[in-house]
Amino acid sequence: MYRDERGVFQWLPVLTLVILSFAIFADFYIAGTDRLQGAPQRIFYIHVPSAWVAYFAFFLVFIFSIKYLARRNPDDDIRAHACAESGVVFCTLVLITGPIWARPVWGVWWTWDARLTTTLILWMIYVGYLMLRAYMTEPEQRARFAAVMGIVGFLNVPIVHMSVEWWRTLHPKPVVMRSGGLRDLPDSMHVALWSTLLAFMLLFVCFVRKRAQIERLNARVEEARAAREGA
Amino acid sequence: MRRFFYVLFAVVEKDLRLEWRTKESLLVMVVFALLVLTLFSFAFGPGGGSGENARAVQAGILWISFLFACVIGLSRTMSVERESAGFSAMYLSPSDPSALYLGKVVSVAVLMGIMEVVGFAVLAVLYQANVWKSAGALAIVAISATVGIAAAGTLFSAMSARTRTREVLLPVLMFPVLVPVLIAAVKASEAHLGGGGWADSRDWIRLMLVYDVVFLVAASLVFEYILEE
Repeated sequence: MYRDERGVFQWLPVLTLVILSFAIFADFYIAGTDRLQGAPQRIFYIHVPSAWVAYFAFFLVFIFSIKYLARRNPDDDIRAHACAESGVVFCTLVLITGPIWARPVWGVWWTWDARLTTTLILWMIYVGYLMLRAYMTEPEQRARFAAVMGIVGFLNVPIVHMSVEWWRTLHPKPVVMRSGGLRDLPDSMHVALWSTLLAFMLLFVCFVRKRAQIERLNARVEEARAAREGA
Repeated sequence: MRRFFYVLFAVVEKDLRLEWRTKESLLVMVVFALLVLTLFSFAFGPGGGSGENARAVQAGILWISFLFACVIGLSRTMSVERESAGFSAMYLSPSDPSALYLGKVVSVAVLMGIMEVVGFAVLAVLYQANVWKSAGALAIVAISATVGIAAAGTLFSAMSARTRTREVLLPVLMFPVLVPVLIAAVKASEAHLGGGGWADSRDWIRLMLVYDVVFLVAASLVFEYILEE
């Protein structure tokens, strides 16, 4: 069996599983029930960390894309791909948990609030990124085009956010968090939030590593196939 | 610097001459925009509905039809480049890739501009829109939006033209990225169609200009990676 995981990283999935189990426990039992929103508020512990991980992932795509164009190391392209795919997974999680939380609290599944809309557009941009990759066959060209998309797509995020914010200023804004921001959260909720964030970050690293490993194997298979056909 | 503009204008001249002789892209763009403008009046009722909302609907219809027509025109110009190995020739020539890119943007923007003049005229006739009264303001809105659409469209169509599915991918890549331009163009056009002043549209025009500059600079810098073979 082919393995490229050695040392500390070999135990990463196990560690992730332990922390994730603790985080789920914390989300349901350690964190107190919100007085205003009740049980639905617990989605917050899944929703917010997923959003942070997704935005972080897309930032990494941007960094690896620049690195690829500068140094032309195929591994940077593989990493950008792995980050984009894992980022889309977490972004999808945000877009699924959001409406489930919004329905009982705001009374609607969706509102065209700046943050929600930006996340939706972001999701579309990176789904486009993955489709671009899927529709290209020549690895070197695919890597270059994807890197361009990864850079341009990320540069666009602040402009999208600004335009959507202005677009919505005429309308009432939903109160995203009824409390006065993160500082007002009680300690038990902090435990739940940060442990979930840590668990999701580790999960993200596991996904990216696994995905990159699979891509490297794919590249080797392609190479071997090309060599055999050439012979 | 002189060489940069020489290359830029050479590309513009080549594209416009090609278009003048074949009239392929422009014709299909104009007809398609017309078609979409007509179809939308079936969806929203004649004149884009009634009352206050009609201006907003008209502005939305207008820019959605321009965006759709632009996709068709871009696919056409880029498939011409591909079929005649235009990209390879550009890459082999010792000219600055950003001059080639900006030349393409200008020629796409010129084609879109012609289509938009027809589109605005049709809007004035079919939807009884107040186009003439604020023609100057609408022209400025249209120019700032068109530069952004052409800038993004040229970059993404150069990429999608060389994927396995050809042009199919273009809207999927282009539309999400163009959301700020679409919002700003619709809002600013809505203000001026409703007889509003600069105060209502100034911020939107500024947003589009920021977008244009950011996109033109970023895309000029990365275009050489698209041309590379």
